[in-house]
Amino acid sequence: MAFASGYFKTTYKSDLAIVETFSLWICLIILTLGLIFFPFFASAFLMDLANQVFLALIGAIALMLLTGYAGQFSLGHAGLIAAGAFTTAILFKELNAPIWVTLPTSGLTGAILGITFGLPSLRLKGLYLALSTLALHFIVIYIGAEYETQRGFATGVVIDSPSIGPFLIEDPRLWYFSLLIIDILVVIFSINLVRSRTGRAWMAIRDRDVAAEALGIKVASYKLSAFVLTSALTSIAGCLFAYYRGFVSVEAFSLHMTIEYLAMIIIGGLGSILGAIFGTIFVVLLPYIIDALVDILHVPTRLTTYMFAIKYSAFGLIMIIFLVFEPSGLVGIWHRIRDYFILWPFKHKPLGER
Amino acid sequence: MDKAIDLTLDGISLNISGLEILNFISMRAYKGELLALIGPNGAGKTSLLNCISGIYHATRGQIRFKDRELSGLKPHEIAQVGIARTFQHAELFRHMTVLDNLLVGRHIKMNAALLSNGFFWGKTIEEEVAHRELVEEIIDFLELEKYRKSNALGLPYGIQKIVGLGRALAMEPQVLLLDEPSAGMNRQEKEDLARFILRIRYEIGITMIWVEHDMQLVGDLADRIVVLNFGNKISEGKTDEVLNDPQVIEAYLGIKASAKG
Repeated sequence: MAFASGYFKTTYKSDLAIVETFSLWICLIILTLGLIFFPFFASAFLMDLANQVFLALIGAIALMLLTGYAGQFSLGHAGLIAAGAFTTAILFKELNAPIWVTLPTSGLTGAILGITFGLPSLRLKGLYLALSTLALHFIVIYIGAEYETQRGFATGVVIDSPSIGPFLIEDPRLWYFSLLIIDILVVIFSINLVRSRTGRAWMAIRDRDVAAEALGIKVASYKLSAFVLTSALTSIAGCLFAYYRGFVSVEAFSLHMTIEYLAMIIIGGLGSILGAIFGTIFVVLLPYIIDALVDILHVPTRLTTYMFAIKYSAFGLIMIIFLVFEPSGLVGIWHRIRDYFILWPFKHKPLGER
Repeated sequence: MDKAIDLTLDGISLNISGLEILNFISMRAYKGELLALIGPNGAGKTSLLNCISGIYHATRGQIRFKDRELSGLKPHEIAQVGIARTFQHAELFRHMTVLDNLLVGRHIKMNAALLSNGFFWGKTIEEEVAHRELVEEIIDFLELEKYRKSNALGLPYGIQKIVGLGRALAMEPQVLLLDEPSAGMNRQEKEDLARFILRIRYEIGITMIWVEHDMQLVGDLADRIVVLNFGNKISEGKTDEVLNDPQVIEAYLGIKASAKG
């Protein structure tokens, strides 16, 4: 255990540590304590925001793994969330299935969709691949809408709160802690993935697929594994989304949702799990920040009718600003601030540090 | 030479959209030798390497590694067989560190799969540490210590080429295909490279097929030379013999010079 400057590692195993320094441990403990005690002070509104962030984070990390690490573009993200949500809704309505059935089944549905719509990635790259995954979105939405009309749930499907054993997960605080635990597991799992063999293979394919194959990486199966894992994860997020909202309707899963998830990983910073976390917080909170700004600035009431349009365009504008001025995203800004303080009074970091 | 044959190319022809890139090339690489593959620009040297490493599939002909038929295998299968290669433009994984680039080279020697990686169980940790040790040996061997944790993107070009060589060495190959390793290097880097190539040749003993434009390097280091010109093999043999072959001089310098010489 050491401070950030002037410490030396003596084994290669110690170089595998994620939390390297004493100060980082302290920050992490403070963060954990903050997260644990947050629900006891927060208002219902803040609790809802936190839960929304936690829910979105699962999908954002999945998309980060697929696009930011494996380099495969996908516009089917809202479709996959919808697939999970509708699997849950259909199983609940038709069979009255409990959550320990719907959650794995949603994951399975996602995995199957992932294989199917990952197959074009073996031939297509970049925008062409993105376009082929767009088909996934419309197919899932079509099936969901058909189910709604055929079974007479024209306005959407209502789902009861899930119960695990004797616990009925209805209270926002219970949701908060359940989602927090799931998120921590997902984050740790993905950090581990990207720092070991699988993650390196994905990144190699992202950066130079020809060289990756010449080094013995089975490009096709690694691309598919990325699609399967992330699709399953996204659909599981969709299942949780359905339970949390208690209501599933196709209107919730528009293309705008896909764009939101893309914004999370771009604004956060592609190729970084921390970036996915930053991006999710930013994108989920942005509309509320705009609302708050409107309140504070006393915008004339006739302008508030355009709020929806304002939010949309603010979104696009911020995405463009990030793409042009800070392609490494929020995580890039964070690294610069951190380096500034770590290196002070020196200006430049030594060669080789990221 | 009665040494064991590692790689046999038998009548390799390659046509790409009607263009004849390679025309009935036959050659052998003996075990442990440093075989230089030279020829003017566009002679088909890189195409021949691409055929061996499976990136192109030869239109006709056979490639054998020892007794194993390689024609028709995919690049990752050929890598599994024990044939590694470097690229003309290094082709490093740009957003990964030098260390990670080299660890990708260890990919085929590692076993832990997705779930084990995700949970970072004992097996994955053991593997990561063991392979890190091997990669560190390569870092020492190629004198890359100070670049260990730098991103490949920002490295000087010469260093990128050396990292590319290290990435191929990390696969512990039996045959190493080098595609113009010295291109874009300055004098000092070339001398380092020459030293590395000789150490690989004499200390590790990997068979190398080495595409090269620097005739001085070739003349100093190569055991044997194969010369290509417009997709045809025009000469093969010991270094001194080949470099004095009138046909080779003609291909490089033109007819007049060879007549004078």
